[in-house]
Amino acid sequence: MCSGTLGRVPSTPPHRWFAVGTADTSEADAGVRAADAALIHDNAKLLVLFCSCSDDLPGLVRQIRSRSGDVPLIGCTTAGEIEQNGPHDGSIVVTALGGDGFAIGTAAAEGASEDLRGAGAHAARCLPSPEDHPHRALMLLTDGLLSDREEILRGAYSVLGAGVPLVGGCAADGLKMTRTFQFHGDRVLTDSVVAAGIASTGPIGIGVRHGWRAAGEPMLVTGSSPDRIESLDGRPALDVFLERLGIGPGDVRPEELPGLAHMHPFGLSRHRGEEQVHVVNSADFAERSLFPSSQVPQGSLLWLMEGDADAVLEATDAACSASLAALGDVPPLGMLAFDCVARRGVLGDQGIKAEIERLASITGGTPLAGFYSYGEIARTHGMRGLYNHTLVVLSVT
Amino acid sequence: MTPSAWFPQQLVGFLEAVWSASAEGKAALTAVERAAEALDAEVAAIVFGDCLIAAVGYPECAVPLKELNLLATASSAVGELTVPGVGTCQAASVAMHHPPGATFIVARAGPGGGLRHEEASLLQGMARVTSMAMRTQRLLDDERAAREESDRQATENARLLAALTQRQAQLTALADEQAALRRAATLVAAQAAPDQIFAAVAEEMCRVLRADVGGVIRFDPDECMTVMAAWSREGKHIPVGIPARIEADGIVAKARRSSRPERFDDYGGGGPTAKVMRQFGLRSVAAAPILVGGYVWGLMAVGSCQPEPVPATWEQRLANFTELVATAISNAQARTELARLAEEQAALRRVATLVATGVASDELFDAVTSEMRLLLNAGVASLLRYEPDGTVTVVAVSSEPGVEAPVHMRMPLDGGSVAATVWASGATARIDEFDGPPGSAAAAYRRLGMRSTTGAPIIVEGSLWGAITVDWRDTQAVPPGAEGRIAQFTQLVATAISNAASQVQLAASRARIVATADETRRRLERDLHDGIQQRLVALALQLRAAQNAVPPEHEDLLEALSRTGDELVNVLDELREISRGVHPAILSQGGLGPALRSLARRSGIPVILRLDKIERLPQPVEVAAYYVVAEALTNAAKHANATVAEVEVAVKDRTLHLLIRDDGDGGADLARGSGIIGLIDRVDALGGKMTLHSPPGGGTSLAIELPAELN
Repeated sequence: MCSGTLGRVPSTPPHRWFAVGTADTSEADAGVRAADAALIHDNAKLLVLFCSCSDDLPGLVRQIRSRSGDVPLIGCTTAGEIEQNGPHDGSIVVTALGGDGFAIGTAAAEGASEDLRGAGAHAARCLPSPEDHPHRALMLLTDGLLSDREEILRGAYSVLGAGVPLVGGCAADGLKMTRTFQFHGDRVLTDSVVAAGIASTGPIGIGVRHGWRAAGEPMLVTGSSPDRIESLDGRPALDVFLERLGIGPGDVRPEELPGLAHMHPFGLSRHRGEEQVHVVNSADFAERSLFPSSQVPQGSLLWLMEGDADAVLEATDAACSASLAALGDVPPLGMLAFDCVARRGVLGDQGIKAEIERLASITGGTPLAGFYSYGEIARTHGMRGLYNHTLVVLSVT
Repeated sequence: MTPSAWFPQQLVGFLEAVWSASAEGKAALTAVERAAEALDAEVAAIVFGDCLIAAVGYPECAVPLKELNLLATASSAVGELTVPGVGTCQAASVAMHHPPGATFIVARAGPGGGLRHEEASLLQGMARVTSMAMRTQRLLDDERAAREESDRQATENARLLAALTQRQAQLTALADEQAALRRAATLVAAQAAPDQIFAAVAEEMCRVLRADVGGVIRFDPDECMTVMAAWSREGKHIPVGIPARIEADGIVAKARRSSRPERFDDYGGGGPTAKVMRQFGLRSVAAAPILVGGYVWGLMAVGSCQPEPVPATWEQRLANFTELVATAISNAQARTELARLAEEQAALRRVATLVATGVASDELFDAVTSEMRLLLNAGVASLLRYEPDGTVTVVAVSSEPGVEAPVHMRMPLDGGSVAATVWASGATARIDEFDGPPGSAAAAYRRLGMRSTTGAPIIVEGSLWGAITVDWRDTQAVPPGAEGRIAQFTQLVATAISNAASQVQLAASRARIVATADETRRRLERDLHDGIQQRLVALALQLRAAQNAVPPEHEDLLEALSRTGDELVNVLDELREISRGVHPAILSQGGLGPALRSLARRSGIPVILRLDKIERLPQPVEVAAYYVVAEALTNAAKHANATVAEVEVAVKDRTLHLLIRDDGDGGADLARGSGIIGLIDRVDALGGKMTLHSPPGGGTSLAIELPAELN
């Protein structure tokens, strides 16, 4: 498989351009082919690589770099790749942003688990700030197995402040949950945060939607720590959670809980915008506590969320529309989608195909790239920006 | 649980987060972040006047402190903030209890960004919690800082104490070393014997360095050395004073070659020294050279029996002691040299005194050879005179007891003797071994057991007169500078010889003058006697004959002739008196005794003459004696107002002794009166001596000694 999509291909390199190249990793020269398909002009400024975990990720990067030279590159492994023609597993998707209308800086913070906040701050400092490129955003790709990833966003926020949106996703490993990888330049990293600071002469739009609905009464987090919810409404969190689902305390085995929980995420209320949806990954049956995918502060109001495939699909439309709406009248050059792997579980294989088709239809053939992630980043207001069960769409003009 | 419990639970979560911060600043930062998250705000900050404590929502290093401060000091608890990239935000502020005067600000974007009532209450609670947390953290920070400072001070104190202890140990060691050096220096200053100083320094050095064995070694000729002093901590006997060969690859040879401190950390090798060192259990040694007057006199060495090598500082610390030893050696050498110089000067002075007093040459030469031999610690010292026939005469010699050196012997100048070399070159010469070409002199001295000889020429008024040679036997060391020291004596001898020659010439010259004068007097007296005097006698006889021929009636004529005859006799007597004054004929005819008796009789004052029986003496002696007595008696009668004079004449030991005394006024002076000066010249011309004693009012006594025999 090999295909390429591009925004505009005038005879001379445009001021800004966006192109996507894909290839199947089963092909020996997949990296070369995907890069060639994405590098439609000579003045590429950034390559973004999404691919499934494979045995020779460094070789893959070398193939791409053999074609792109020193063009800055970031990327990560996925739980499924997204491109205009649909979702894939075992493929590579290379996105190229080029032209003088973009000013790009990239960074990698290694050993992120040692200092999450520092890693976020370090990554944020790569953002260039030329005066003639007023539209800016920081794209973050983090190791998806890191805990307390809010600290990464706090670090980035402390550097950039409220004026620069943060967007991106958490690297995945095809739900193996063992090891994810990040790419920066020639290097293949793990336990890291890689970032691309994008400054553009054109608007940048971000849309965030999950499609879930709050159901029932809110629950007050009465006991929590950075990696677990200990109590809800003054009672053991696991008991309250199961009770809300109508399941007796002894009716579910520990190994059944993740599947059950992914279908019933929590929603964390916010002053405005989408609720922050968090998913429970597992539970401590002895302590009767829950392990959420992201930190849930004590005092937070949680809703048990409910939804179905239709609602999730509708969120796709909404996210895409919201992203485009932020552009005003400027048509997009391309889109990057950071889609939660849990949504894939909800939608099923057919559902995600439909999802991508809907995305493609909304954008009218605009190049599209993305991946299924272990967490989505979209800080557009307030400080919080880490989501689960959510689709984040970045539109570039 | 109802949502009404939201507030306290939020606050509990906030409190847990803020109180978990590890410092006041971190607590403030956590507070603003958690407040922004809880209230979904873009901006949260804590400001304190012109000081920013913590803020989120602005790019780093771009927090608009002035704007925040305006909001903080505004009377209203709500307001607006413009946040870059976001736009206008609704802000709320809460005064904090701590830090006093600080304000907690939160700003949220959008038209509905203002805090709801419960959110504002939450902010109040958060501000209070933050104040408490910051105050507590401040106290903890202060306590932590105090504890850290205390720990730091404790660490610093411990370090200082350790340094002080080490320094004290160093000072103690230094003081011990200084005390040891002082003790040794005191010995040096007191001019103790070098052996005593060596022994003391070896012990002090070992004690200070905590060495097991140490010693002072002297380098000897022919690659040999001698242990001068040694000390062992265990009291082991180390032989001293025994010469030994220096091992070519040992530490002694190494230090000698380099003239620098050296060390051997392993004495595991072979060789005699290694064997000796192992006997003492030594594992490593250090040595430093002793430099005296620019040459390596010897070295000081210390050794350790410990497994680890001797400390690196030993070589340098040894140097302190080697300087002391060098000073002691230098002092001892200086004292020896001083004593030698003093001895030499004394010898020179004694010889010079003899030269000045004009002693006889034989006496002088004997003294010179004796002084030379003793001064140069030699076996034989000889004074030689070169003869015109190419031989050399041993004029004087001094030899140590048991050595019969030839004297007054004439030897040919043959072979390679020092005498022949000096004669040929006119310069000093030296032979260290009598194994050169044989010669008479060399053979003679070799027979006496002499091994080496040195000679210096005696040059009198530009001509080579002779030489002084000094000989040593093989057990005697030739002193340094022997040639120069001999030369000093040869100069004195040359002066003496020159003086003696001059005196002989002067006396001869005076004698010739006196003799010529006397001869002139005699001829004048003879001319008077044989000429005028005889003619006057003849004239008187003719007058008597003429008088007898005059008739008696011519009384007037007879009377006139008689007066003329008497006058003629008076003239004749006066002429005889003059003739005697010119030269007493009785002296020539009868000798000194009759002449003096005649003189005494004719003296103007009574003269007591004590005259031994005297044989005839050489004419110049008799004439001198006669005129001395005559002049003395004339002075006594004419100038001293004497009433009596006494003359004693005797011949003893081939010397004529004259003594003339009077009871006159005294006060006579040899320097005054030409008559006396003339007498002095006479006496000196004969090699005699004259002594005048004439105290004022005490009479005059004149003693004369004249040689009774003339060469």
